[in-house]
Amino acid sequence: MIITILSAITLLVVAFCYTVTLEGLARKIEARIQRRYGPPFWQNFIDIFKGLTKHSISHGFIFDFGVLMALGGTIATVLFIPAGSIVVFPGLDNVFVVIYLLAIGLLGMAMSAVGSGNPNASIGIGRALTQMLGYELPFMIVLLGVFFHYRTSSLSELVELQISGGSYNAWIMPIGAIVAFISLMGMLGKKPFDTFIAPAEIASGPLVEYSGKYLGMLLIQHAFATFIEIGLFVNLFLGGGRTLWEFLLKFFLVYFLAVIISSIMPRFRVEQAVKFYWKWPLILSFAQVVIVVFAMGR
Amino acid sequence: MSILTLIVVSLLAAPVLYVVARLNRRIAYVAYAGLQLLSFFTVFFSRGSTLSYEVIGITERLNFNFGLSPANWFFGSIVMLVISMSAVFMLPLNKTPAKVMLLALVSAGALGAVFSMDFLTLLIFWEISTWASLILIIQDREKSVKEAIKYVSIGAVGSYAMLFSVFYMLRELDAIDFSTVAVRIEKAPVHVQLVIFISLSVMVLAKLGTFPLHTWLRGSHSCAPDEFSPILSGAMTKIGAFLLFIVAVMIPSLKIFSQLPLFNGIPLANYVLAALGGVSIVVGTVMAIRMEDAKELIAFSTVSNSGYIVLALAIGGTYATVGGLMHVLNHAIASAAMFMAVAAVAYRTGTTKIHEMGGLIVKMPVSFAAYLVAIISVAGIPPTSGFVSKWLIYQQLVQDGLPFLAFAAFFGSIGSFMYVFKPLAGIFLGQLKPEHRSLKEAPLAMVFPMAFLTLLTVFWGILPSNAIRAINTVTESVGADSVRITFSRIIALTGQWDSILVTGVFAVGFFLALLIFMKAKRARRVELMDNYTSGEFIYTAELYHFSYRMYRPFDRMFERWPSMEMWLASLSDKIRELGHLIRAVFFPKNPQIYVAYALVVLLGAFWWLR
Repeated sequence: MIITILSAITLLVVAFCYTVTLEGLARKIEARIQRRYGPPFWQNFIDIFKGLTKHSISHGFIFDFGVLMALGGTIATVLFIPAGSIVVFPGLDNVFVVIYLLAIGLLGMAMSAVGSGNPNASIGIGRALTQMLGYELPFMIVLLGVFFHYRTSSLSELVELQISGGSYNAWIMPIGAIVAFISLMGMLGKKPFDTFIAPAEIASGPLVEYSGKYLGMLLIQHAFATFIEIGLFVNLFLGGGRTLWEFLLKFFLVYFLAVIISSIMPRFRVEQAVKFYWKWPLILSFAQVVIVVFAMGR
Repeated sequence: MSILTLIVVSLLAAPVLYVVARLNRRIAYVAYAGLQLLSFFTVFFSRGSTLSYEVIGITERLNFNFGLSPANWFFGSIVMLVISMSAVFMLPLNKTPAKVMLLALVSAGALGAVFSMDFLTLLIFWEISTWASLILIIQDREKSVKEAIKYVSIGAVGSYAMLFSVFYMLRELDAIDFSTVAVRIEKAPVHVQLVIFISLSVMVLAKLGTFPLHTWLRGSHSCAPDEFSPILSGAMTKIGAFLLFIVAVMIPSLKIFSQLPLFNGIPLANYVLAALGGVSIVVGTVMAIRMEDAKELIAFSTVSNSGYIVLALAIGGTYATVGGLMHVLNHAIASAAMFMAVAAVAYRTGTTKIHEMGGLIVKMPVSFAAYLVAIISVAGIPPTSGFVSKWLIYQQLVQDGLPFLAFAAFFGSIGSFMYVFKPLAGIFLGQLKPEHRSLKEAPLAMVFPMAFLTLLTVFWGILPSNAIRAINTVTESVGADSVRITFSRIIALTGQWDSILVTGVFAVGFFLALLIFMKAKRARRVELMDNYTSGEFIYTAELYHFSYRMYRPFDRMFERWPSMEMWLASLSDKIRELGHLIRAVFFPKNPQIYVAYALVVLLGAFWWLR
């Protein structure tokens, strides 16, 4: 019990500090790619703590409640992500649980944003949900292949099996890993799949009405959500890690690949994004899962 | 009280209630609600009693057989729960003597159908219920007659298929009761098995509202009186699930079709049925996303969820069977709650069009909460019961390695976020319309059933082992396997689901968020119109609410797709044109030509008979 609580606290602290630092570094790298100087790498910490201490406005009960639900649901989901040697709930960290628990946070955020009464937020949420139908489908199909192959959907067991098998899923199922990475870009809302944020078009979409502590909490939520999404990919396809440091290194590599690709991309319209996902990634994911089910056996 | 007495009382109550309603409508409706609650409690608490078997003889060979097996109890409890809650819900709504009689007939028919032990009894009571609901549908709205015709014609396809199947079974197997048929069909030749399976499946597809017989749901669910839609979606379609359970699970379809070609261990016949379920998941989801009327949207979500039930029970296996039955329970409760919330809103605002409302959360918070929990369950998010059934169905899809059926299941699951969120955003969130500023929460009689169904959804979400244990007795009673459970965990092939732990972790997360929220400075409360507007001045709340065609970009992708409804409409146009042609040729306006026809016919007959 005490070990569970301690590892949960460690995981939350590590996830928060590491992801926020990386987000700061990403801003710096993106700036350098675009020949700007960029903010210091601790800028995101400054943003969050500044936000939490400022005055803010509220648009009513659901506006507050949705933010709490978003942050609460996301914090709960982080605890189901194994990070190297830190595994809070071994055996219970089902991927389906992670995906659907993360949805609580998304639903809370969506409710709160639409509850602000700003049409920009509604448009953004509409786009986000549409795009979700795009990227989740190929991702889930690939996951089906992974679970079928290993006969488990527990993240920590998948990590162990990959390490003991001596070969990562990215090598065993390369097509699936590529598809999952493309889906990950959509999940993270990186360009070209950032149509639901689109600052110049719909004024940051869902985030348009947030200020002060609300914005601070949603920045924390965003950091945790990033940790969950990339953590899922690292655990599923790159074998997690034997130690925390190995996990964090792989996390770093995946995140920076996504950032670098994103910083040279334009933006898809939302139906273009969905059509894209339903064309190549979906075909490739079916190809991968057919190979896994019919050619590789169990 | 035995089940037989209950059915007879319910049948006799219909004309009595009509007479009472002519005298005093309020008393009749209260009596109706009391009778339904009584039937629900009788059914629900009869669980412990042993398997009883009651027969009314008609002729030497035909009997009405009623029984109380675990399956009958399970489906009966679900159906009567939804009907009794709707009966309480409809107390404040407008009342007519005809409606109360028809409603009583519907529930008597449903009661007889779910407690039947043979196919003919099932069909007869089902038809009583169907015909009563047919007349009920056309009670409130003008355009509904056309929709009712669709309902009756598609229902007829199913009923004739089932009637055929009953007589076919009598000829080939010399039995029509479920248990004997299940035994004898195993030895029958494969074409007999296939004919029975297919003809009964047609009835299942028609009544559950599954592709390709799903076109009646949109019209009849949305045109039906608001208080009847929950019964239609939550109870009537679930009788179709009862027949499906008999066809696919009680008759061991996986075993008897094992000589047919197999797809990853699933026989062809079952795979085709499951694929139809998959298609209806996708069709229902896409169409639901595109609807602008809340009731039409929920009707298509029923198509999609019926697809889940068909898919799960057709592929069989332990997890899918239990998951499918759990989904019957979830969807009955959730869709009833969704329809009730929309009906409550319609009772106050007089519309079901999503874009004619907005911001009603401040006026109708309980309806909002009921709708919110119901959609969380439909979308399959923990901690509601909807997650458990979808999770179990996924376990089976992973175990059997069925990527194409899994695609449909995932599509429906993720797509459901889109369609359930649309009414939430359009009706309850966003800007309040000025004409709705003086609205009040729905009356207490409406609030109570909604709150009760909401609590049940959350209860079985936090403690799914309670529901799974009941379902395990159902599957064990027909010789299928059961899912391993402990108090808080469900143990499946690829992992475990500990609902209490996950709920607890979520509570901790929520508490941490609340801590940050309370520690920070208190926010200043502003009006909904006090918004970021890029420097524009806004005064009209109704124009500042984005809900009409919320998913327009998605909509555009599917605009040119073939539509089954349009295809059927043009087919009916063609038939009507053919009728006009025949009338134009053979039915001239001039009476002399009729005389000429008559003479020709008489002369011809005379010549032929001479």
